[in-house]
Amino acid sequence: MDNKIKISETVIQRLTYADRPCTGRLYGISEENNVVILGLQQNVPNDKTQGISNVFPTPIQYCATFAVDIINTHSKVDGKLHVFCNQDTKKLMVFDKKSKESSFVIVSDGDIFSKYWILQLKGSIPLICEASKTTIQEMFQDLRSHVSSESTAFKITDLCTYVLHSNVICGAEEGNITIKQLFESLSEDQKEPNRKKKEKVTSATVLLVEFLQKMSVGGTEASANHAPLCILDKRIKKIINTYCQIDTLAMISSDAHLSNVYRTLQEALLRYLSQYEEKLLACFKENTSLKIDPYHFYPSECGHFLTLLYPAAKSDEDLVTERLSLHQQCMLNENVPMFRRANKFINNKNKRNGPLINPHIGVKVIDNGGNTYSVRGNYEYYHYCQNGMDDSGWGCAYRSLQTLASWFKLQGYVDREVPTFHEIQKCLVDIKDKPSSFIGSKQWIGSTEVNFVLDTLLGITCKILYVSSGEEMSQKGPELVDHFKNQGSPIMIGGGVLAHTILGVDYNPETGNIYFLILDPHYTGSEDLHTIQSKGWCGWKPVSFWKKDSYYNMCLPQVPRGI
Amino acid sequence: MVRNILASDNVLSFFICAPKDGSGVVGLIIGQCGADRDYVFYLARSPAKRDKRSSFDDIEEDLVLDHAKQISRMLPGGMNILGIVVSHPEDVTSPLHPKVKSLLSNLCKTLDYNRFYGNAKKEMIILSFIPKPQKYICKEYNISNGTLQLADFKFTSKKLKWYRIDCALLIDELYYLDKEENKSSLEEHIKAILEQIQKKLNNVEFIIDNQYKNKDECIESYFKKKISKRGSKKDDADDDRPLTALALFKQDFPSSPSMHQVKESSGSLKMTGKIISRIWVQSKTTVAEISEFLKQDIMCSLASRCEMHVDSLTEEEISEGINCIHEPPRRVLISLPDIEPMFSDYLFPGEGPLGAKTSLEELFGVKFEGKLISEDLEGEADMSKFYDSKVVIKLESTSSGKFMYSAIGLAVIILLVALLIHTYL
Repeated sequence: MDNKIKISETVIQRLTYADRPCTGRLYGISEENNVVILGLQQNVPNDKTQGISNVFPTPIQYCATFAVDIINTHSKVDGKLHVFCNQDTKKLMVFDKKSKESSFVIVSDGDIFSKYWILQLKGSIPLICEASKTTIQEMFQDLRSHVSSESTAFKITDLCTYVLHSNVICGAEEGNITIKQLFESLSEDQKEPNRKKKEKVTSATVLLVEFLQKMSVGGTEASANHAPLCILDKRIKKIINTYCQIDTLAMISSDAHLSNVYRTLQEALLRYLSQYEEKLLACFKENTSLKIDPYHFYPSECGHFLTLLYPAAKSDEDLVTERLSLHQQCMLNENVPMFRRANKFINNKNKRNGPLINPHIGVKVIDNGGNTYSVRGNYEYYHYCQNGMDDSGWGCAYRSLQTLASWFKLQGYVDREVPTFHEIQKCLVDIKDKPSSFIGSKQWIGSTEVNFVLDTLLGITCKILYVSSGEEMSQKGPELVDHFKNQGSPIMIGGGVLAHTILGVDYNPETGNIYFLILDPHYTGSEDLHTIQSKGWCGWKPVSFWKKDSYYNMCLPQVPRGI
Repeated sequence: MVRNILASDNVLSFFICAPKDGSGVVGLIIGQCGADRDYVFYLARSPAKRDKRSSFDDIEEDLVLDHAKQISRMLPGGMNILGIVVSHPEDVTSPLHPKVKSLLSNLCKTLDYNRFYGNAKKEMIILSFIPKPQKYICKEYNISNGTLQLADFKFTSKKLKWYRIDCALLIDELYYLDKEENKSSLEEHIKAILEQIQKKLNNVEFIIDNQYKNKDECIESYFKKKISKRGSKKDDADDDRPLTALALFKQDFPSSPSMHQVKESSGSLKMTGKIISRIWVQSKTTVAEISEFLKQDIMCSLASRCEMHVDSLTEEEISEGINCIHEPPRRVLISLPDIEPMFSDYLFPGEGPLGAKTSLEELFGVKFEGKLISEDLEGEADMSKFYDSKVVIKLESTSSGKFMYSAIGLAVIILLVALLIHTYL
């Protein structure tokens, strides 16, 4: 049988966009004769930082080499696939292990989301030992052998299942079903019947897994075959007193059986411990706090998760070299931050307090034949009547401003919370734009004020676009496309009447037809995504959405360059 | 609601040998509290100085309380001392005899004293037996508000059905002493490590019989499944099968600012070994309750043996700030005749179960006919493993078996120095 080679869209995009010759490694999941290539690592000369093989979810591993050049002269590595991308023609060629050219299939994010599910393994392990490099290394060695032993167990909370070394304990009747079947059988009872699940898969399915340690033994096992002893050692010593916060990811085929999960999770844990040990030893050497926090990132340009460990003692500023190296290795845009702490992956399916994240994901698409450009990264949906405040009728521009501010916060551009109404009003008084009676009033604000506040509180400048009537919005296509392509921030629009947030634009340059992705701050209901999308509080709107007899001002926040 | 108590009628043997004089007999009621009923499986007669006593007022409270303390150490998790039983020519419950009142409140205090022993209820039972004319009166006394109300105490000719759950737990706990704990006693160190273990146990989930069950399902459900599957085929004997509990531990840390750094420690205490836990429950006991009982059993057993160990050490041994291995007594399970739930006894290194026979007979007020049935499952440690190169002292509780390696080492050095001095001077 032939090898089946699949390559993710995002890998191909990055290879074909390369502006100079380069070589590197490709990472993917190999199963029998199939390989799915999901990630890449460019060879960066003189890069002293660590490689990135540890940051992928298990079982993604080094499985191929690549070269981008004008002619394919690169020798391949034995036993690995090789991908060549012609820099001029952008044509891709794949060579199998025997250097024979072979066919391949391109897979989209959606395909990967439905084929692989993410297991997020969480837990903690105490790290307490004598404070020396060797004892710390010994402790990790012990930990690894402990994790590799039979005493490791996992609980997949969403599946009501315990996965042990030798068996699976599951609430379902028959154990011999796939993860997907089990998940669906368990979630059926809770799902409201009128919502069908035949939606397009737009994000990864993440199942939470707890790391457990078996404390009991079988009656006959020989280990520690004696009643408890107490060993007192009263030597004074220096110790490290910390714990390893486990938070790592594994990918598992949704049609895999539960019995296949154990090894993958165990492997994920071992990988994570190695990554952690390295960071911990570095902190220990530098004599800083030993607290290390894990972060998961899902940059859309990557098409896969990356798990990074950041020492708590280091600020985002301190980590800029590390991030730059990562951008270079992954061949990502070096003008846009993707690995600041604020960029971390947020699973919108988890119930969280506060505003919804990215409510536009999954809205009904329109068929305009044009190119769609929309906001890049996460933002929060602010609208009327949130946090127990009745601002219905006057607060829409404040809310739109808050949505904009949340975007800057979640991209890691600013390190401050989203300003409150009070802060916004106080700011406008402070800069003498408003009299002091403005604080606490119910006076509305417009795009000029939004511009002032963004500049004063967040240090963000805006470009202002003016249209004299709603109809004129149809001519703003190219400018808006340019904004979303190069800036990617949400736009506040206000004017004679209501304020809104523009999240995207679909512009067909041939017909001139244009649609706007609108987020409406006038929604007064609860944080219910279904209502918001189906009732059009977030959705695509034609030009007629804008009032013909009203003027409009748009605030286009300009984004700082850099990572 | 009236408290409901059920006992199998083999506990009646307690009353057979009750003395006929006016002094009366006091015993402890041992059993398990269920959701709507309590189950009593043993009445243990408390020791009394027989000779000089003549009236009920002369009952030595201390003897009863000490008896209760000893018995409570020996009970499996989920079993408690529910109250006292009195056999006396007069009804001591109406009005409640002041002696009984004080006994019950002090009993409650004694049982509550060590929090590892679990939860003494604030409502204690008093069962009063009047030999002539063979009358039982049972009341419930509320210690906190002093109210007394009738309780329903029934005897059944059927044996109570107990379900047994087994768990063998590995303890491997390391406790680092804070800088300030340098001056603390061994007892305090042990208390600290026990607290650490208890915190850990709070994060343990027990999986019984390798089956996934919700917390509110009861033990009966473990035996029902197979009936429906194969039609009429049912294995009756299956009901008696003891179930094994698997303990899974989820580590959890509250982040504290003192963490994540290098700090000074004045030493460490490690507790390592295997503990055998075995509990007995009634059919309606839920998975959540079983899990609580197991935790209670484990903590109680650990705390009891450590307490016994510390009690057995001399002043000097406790205060010595030296490196040593302590070997607390091990748990041995013993059966009383015709009683299903077993009691625990603790044997010091070198002791065998037979040695304990007489003291057990006294504690439980029984005579063992023939051999004592016991299970010694934890085992003694092979101490040679712990001595390889480290200079440590083993502190055993029997004074005969004391190895003072470092002391011997020191003696040898002194001897050598003396010899050298002697030779060269």
